[in-house]
This record gives sequence, C-alpha cells and structure tokens, in this order.
Amino acid sequence: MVTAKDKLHEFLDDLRSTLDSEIDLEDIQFTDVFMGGMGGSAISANIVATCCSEYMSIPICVNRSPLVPNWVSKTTLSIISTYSGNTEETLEMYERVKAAGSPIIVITAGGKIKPMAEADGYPVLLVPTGFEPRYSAGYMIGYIAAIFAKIGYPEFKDRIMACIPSLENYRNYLEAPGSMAQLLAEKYGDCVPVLCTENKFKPVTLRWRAAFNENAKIICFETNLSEFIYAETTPWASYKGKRMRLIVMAGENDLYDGGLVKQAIQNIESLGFPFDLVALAGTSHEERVFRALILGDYLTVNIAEAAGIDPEVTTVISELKRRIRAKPI
Amino acid sequence: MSARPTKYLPENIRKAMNIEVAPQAKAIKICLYNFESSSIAADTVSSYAFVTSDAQIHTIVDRNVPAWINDSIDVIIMSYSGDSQEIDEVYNGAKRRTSRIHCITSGGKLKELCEQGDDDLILIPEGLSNSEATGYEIGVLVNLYEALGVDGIRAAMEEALPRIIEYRDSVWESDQARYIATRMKDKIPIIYCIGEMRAVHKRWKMLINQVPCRLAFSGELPEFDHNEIVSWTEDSDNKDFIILMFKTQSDSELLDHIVGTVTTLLPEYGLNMLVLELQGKLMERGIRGIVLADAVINCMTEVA
Repeated sequence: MVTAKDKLHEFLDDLRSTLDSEIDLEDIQFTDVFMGGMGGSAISANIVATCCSEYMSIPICVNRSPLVPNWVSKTTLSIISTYSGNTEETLEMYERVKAAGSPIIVITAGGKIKPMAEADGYPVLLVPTGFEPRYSAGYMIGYIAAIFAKIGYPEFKDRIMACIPSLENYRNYLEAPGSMAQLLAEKYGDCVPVLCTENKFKPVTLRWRAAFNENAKIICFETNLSEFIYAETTPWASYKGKRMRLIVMAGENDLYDGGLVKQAIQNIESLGFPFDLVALAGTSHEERVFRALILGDYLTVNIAEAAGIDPEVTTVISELKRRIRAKPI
Repeated sequence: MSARPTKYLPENIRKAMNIEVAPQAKAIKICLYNFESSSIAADTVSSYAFVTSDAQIHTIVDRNVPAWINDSIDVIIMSYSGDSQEIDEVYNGAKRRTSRIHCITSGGKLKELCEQGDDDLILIPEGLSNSEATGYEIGVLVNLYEALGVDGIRAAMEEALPRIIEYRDSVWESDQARYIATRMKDKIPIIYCIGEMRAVHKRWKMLINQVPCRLAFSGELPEFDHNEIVSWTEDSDNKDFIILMFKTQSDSELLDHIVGTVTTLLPEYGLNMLVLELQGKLMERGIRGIVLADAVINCMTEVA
C-alpha cells in the first residue's frame, strides 16, 4: 500500500518523470495561456504561473471558476487539469474553452474528461491513479513545464532540472529524525497557523493551507505581507489568545537590510507578539518555492502521524462531492 | 487616515463617475496594480470585467512586473495614498516596459512619479478614510475601463446604483446588521465567498481588522469546498470562530448548486455558520456585499 510519506518522497521523481514529456501540439503562436482547475490542480498551476511571470513573454491566467473570460480564443492555449477527471466545475470550464475555439491540453488520471478530450481530439497527459489528488502535484507541475517548453518557453523546466539534486538532498534531510519538518510539527500540532508572505509565494501558502487542512486536519489561514502590515498588525498586537500562530515566510534573498520584506519583519518584531520566520533558501525563486512546498507537505504529514490521524482520509469531501453529483442541474 | 465604515459608498461611486477620464486607445490587455485598501475597488470592478470584457485583465498585488508587459499593454497603478511601499518598484518596473501607464491616486509618491513621467493621472479627492475612498476608486476605475474599451461597464454600474442605494437604506442601522454583529461578538469571523466576490471578503476582513481592531480571516471557493472543509469538520476546536458564508445567484447554475450544497452540509457538523444572501446582477451583488460589511461593522462598536 502506498502511504502519504511514500507519495511525498516520490514528488520529485514524479516531477522529473514528466518534465521531458512529448506533447502533441499544433505549431501555433500563442498569445496567452489559460490554466483551469480547482483545489490542488489550481495551486499547481499557480506555482508555475508565479515562477514563469519573470520570464514568459505571454500572460498566464489561472482560473478557478466554471466561467471563462471572453478573451479566450483560438490563440489561447488552455490547460485543463483535474486529477479525478470528474470535477464538475472543471468539466463545465472545459466545455466553455472548447466552445471558444481554444486549443486544449488535458492533464488527468481519467474520469469523464479523458474520453471527452480524446473524442474532441485534444492531447491528454495522464497521471497515475491510486492516490489522493493532492499528491499529484509533481506530475501536474512537470507536465505544465513540458508544455511550456514545447511552446517556446523552456526556462521553467530548465530551472527545475537545475535544482532537483539540491531538492532531493533537502527532501532526504526532512525525512531524517530531528529535521525542521519534525521540529515544526511539534510546534504547530496544536495551533491555528496563519501564513503570511509576499504574493510571489502565495501559491506556497495556498498549498500549505490545504496541507494543514487535509493532511493534519488543522484549520489554517493565509494572508498577504503588505496587507498584513497595512491592516492586521493592530489586531494581532491586541490578540490575547494562544491558539493563533503567525508564520511569516520569505525568500532568504529578500531579507537584506533596507529591503521591503526586512522592513516589514522588523515592523512585526517591534509590536512584540510572537511569530515565526521561515526563511526559504535556494539559488533561484523556483528552488525556494519547491523547498517550501516539500517542507509544508512533510510538516503536515508529521503532525498527522503524531496525532494518530490518517492524512489521506477526507470524509467530508467525498460526502460533498456525492451530494453535488446527486442533484442533476 | 482614520478607518471607519461609510454609509455613502454608492454616492461616492456616483460622484467619481463624474470625474473626467481622457480618451484612450482600446486596450487588449490590462495589468491593474492595486495596493492596500485599493484592492477592494480593483477586485469589484475587475470581477465584473473578467467575464464580460474582450480585454484581458490581470489584477496584481505584488511589486514584481511580469515579463509580458510591453508597449501594447495598459498598466494601471491604483493606490489611494500614493505612498504604498511598493510604488517605486512597480512604477519604475512598468515604465521601463510600457508608456501606457495610468495612475489613480489622491497624491503621494505615485502622483509625483506620474506627473514626472507625463503619464495619465486620475486624481481622487484627498482626506478621505480608506473606506470612503473605495467608492471614488470604483467610480473612476469604471470610467477608465470604459475609456479603455470595456464596453457596458458604465451602464452596468448606472443600472446597479439605484438598487444599491435602496439596499443600503434597508440595511444601515437595521436589525439584520445588528444581528450579524451580535453573532460575531467574541468570535473570530471567517468570511467565505466565491472568487468573483473577492472584494466582499476583503472589505469585511479589512474593516474588522481596522475598526474594532479584531482578528478576521477569509477564504474562497473552490479552496473552501475542495480542501478547507476537511479541517472545519474534523478540528473539534473550531468554536472560537464564526463562518460568514456569502450565497449569491451567480452566472453559473453549477456554482450556485455547489454553494447551496456547502451551506446545507456544514451546519450538519455543528459549525457556527451564518449564511448571507446577496441579490442582483454581478456588479450589484458585489457592491451589496461591501455595503453590508460597512453596515455591520458600523453596528459592531455598538454591540461591543
């Protein structure tokens, strides 16, 4: 039986295995990219979009709604991701981008969308079945990197390839006793984490939030660093409870004296309430992002293990999906 | 700059729609930078334009300028104070890539940079609270989007305003507003809605943070129904919180069905949850949510 820890260990292997995927796509000069999905699929898309905005000369839109903007057209590349292949909102979105004439690539493990896309003549990139959707991030991200390389933007893929050895070392360290993932698990097992970061790390906080929610069954919130400094410091300074715990996440390279992030952190320090700073190391933005993703996954699975919780069980989601499908629209 | 709720959001929108905006070439892609409380106006207007507009609109709350910005892209920088920390970096980054820069502000560094750069400057009155400024920012952004070729946005706002005023008059100092304020007493409010209503949860959170100075958090569907409900239903220590869940009739029957299902399922788990309905077309229902925030937070001091 594949455990949550096995899947976390395989994340980088999944990523590596898909980066060089052959993509069967017409030679079109795309003007934009539209990536659609829900939950973990959308977070994977956000991770890629945030990294690529530094070097891609066409914009990427990540969409979490069944509704699709008017501008989606024949020169828009649409990437529709759903692990199960049965996510209702994503199926509706698929129909709408198809109606807009946009070339589509589907990333899925099967379900309804696979035969639909095949019948429509769109490429389908397959993710293996047999695990919880949130453990498919390595495949989702790797496939998107391969697609971007295919349409003339290999930078993301190249940067990922360059940092995989370092990320493997980091993963091995996190799996060892006494690692940061264990220390933080002991600290956060009994609190409500509030994740605070610059927007360029927002996909990471979304992923951490989902991992706290699903793996550890812990309520978690996230906020933006500049909004925090603008509006949230006073309530935090007067908060007398013990349960909410602020975790500020920042790239190590942004912590130089005089920089905006350093100033924001000094501002928080001056208010005197406890918080933790997670400084993300790495030689590129991609490496810092992936280190943070790996840390969040191990940390939350460690919390679940310590509490005797099965990180893979998400009963309410199954019930919700059952009810959504039970009532035909 | 004081933080206080405002009764006059619709009137401020109307006044700002009289502020003249210079004629513009039709936009293909718009990149809207928005900081601090300006993000509420940005999200309100952009949510409407997201589905209806032929121009592609990206709202950005960050200091990084994407590589795809070039001279064919319109960049709007909106900051009421004009002195948000990120202004220098964003303005200079955008200026290197495009000459089509529009600044919406009351002054500060942004006004100076915009004047020096001979860019399109749209001034809104100084001396307002951030909440009061929201109406002005919404009104001028509607004008600017219309000038940039987002057809129908001004008409949609004109159609919505009378009904929003009527709604405001019905909720301001109302029993409903007092009831919601009472339910939030001694709890940490968590505001949830669908993505198109992002401005609504931001307004609620920001006002609760700034007026009674209390913690509040927010989130959106689909993250809420795809991930977060697991912890809400399995973390037994959830009694410190109250969930305010906004339910609307959106432009997707499926989305409405999902929101309806979530709002019936979660109370079965004993969650402290309040479902708030917002009526009207897209522009109207978003602004109703903001108006309700102001009305409730106005009552919170009284209730406390």
